[in-house]
Amino acid sequence: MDLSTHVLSPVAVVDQLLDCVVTHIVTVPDYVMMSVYREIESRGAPRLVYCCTEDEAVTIAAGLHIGGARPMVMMQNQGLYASLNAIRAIGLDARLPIFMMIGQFGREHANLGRPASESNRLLVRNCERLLDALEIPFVACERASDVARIADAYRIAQEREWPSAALIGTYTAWEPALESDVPAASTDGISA
Amino acid sequence: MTMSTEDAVSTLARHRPPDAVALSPMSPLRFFPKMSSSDLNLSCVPLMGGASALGLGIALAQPARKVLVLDGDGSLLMQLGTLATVSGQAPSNYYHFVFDNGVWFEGGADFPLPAAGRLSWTGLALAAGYASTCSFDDADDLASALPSLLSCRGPVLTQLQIDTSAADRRPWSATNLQDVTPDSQFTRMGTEARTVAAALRDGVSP
Repeated sequence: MDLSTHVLSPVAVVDQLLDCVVTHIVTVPDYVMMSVYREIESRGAPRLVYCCTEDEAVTIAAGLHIGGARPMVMMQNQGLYASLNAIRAIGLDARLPIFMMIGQFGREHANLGRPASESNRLLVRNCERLLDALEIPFVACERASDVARIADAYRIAQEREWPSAALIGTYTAWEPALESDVPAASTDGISA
Repeated sequence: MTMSTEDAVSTLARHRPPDAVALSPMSPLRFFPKMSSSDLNLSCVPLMGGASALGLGIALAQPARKVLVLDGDGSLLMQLGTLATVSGQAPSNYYHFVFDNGVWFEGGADFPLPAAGRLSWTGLALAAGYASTCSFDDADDLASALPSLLSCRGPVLTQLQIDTSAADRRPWSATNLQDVTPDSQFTRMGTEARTVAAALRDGVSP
């Protein structure tokens, strides 16, 4: 597996969020998208709201939306599992548009380029199934050409007044390490 | 000195600033909307534990408007980390009222909360970093303090010590069944959220 083909630029990701005029990112930090946080911090926007649990993040985002802001949630796939009841109440029953960018923590390199639903890791492969079961539309992002889909998913949530998600399937790059410095060797998974 | 949930809610309703957003879950919800009708009321159901975080989001988006969170002690226990999150964001317009009755399903079942009677909500909030706290076990004292309390810089947590012997419902049993949950219980929060959002967007005050 050549990992240089499966990497996302944090600059491009944050550009997408700013194009959508996202005002707040409510989050429990994710291991996969570390460099995105650093990029947001360096730009000073959108405003990062760090909180204690992912269900709290979903609920704070709902309050921000009601108050007229344009929030979104960043979390890890473990956070999706942890926040299901809040997503059910806020997104599905109350029909509030909650866009979630979810890092696929634990995805093995051997699975890159293949459907995450074929991952050897239960945590990873059931993530898409879980979203399907909840009727939450999502996009999978793991290559540079996928980044524009983040904005598409954000807009779907706003248009449908319903949750949506972007599954970030690979580590976001540390600039300027993009492409040239990414190791080609397959080192299977990194533990938190 | 004793104060029922209804007494406490009635007092808060009388002193609620008309342009304040008010969120209520569970027990307070049985009374508050009838006592303080407004397009700025938001029911936090069915999402036990969500009121504090939902209120925080509104407070951050609307920093010039007071947000009153009428929270249950059982609800807040489910989302205890929110005390730290609120403290970290330090919204000066955030007023957190915790109904400390020590039970789940007040009157209907009265299941005891973990550490009921031993938890200090003011202690927890101060330790988390709230700007100030206070506690009341009497509705008249609460009424006297509310005007100045609501002019304090938030976040403020007020512990309301509730006497459950004055609960408005009888224990559930074979001859006193629980109410069937209506469809509206699942759509209510969304409907009210859109009403609150529109009122905030249009600058409408009740």
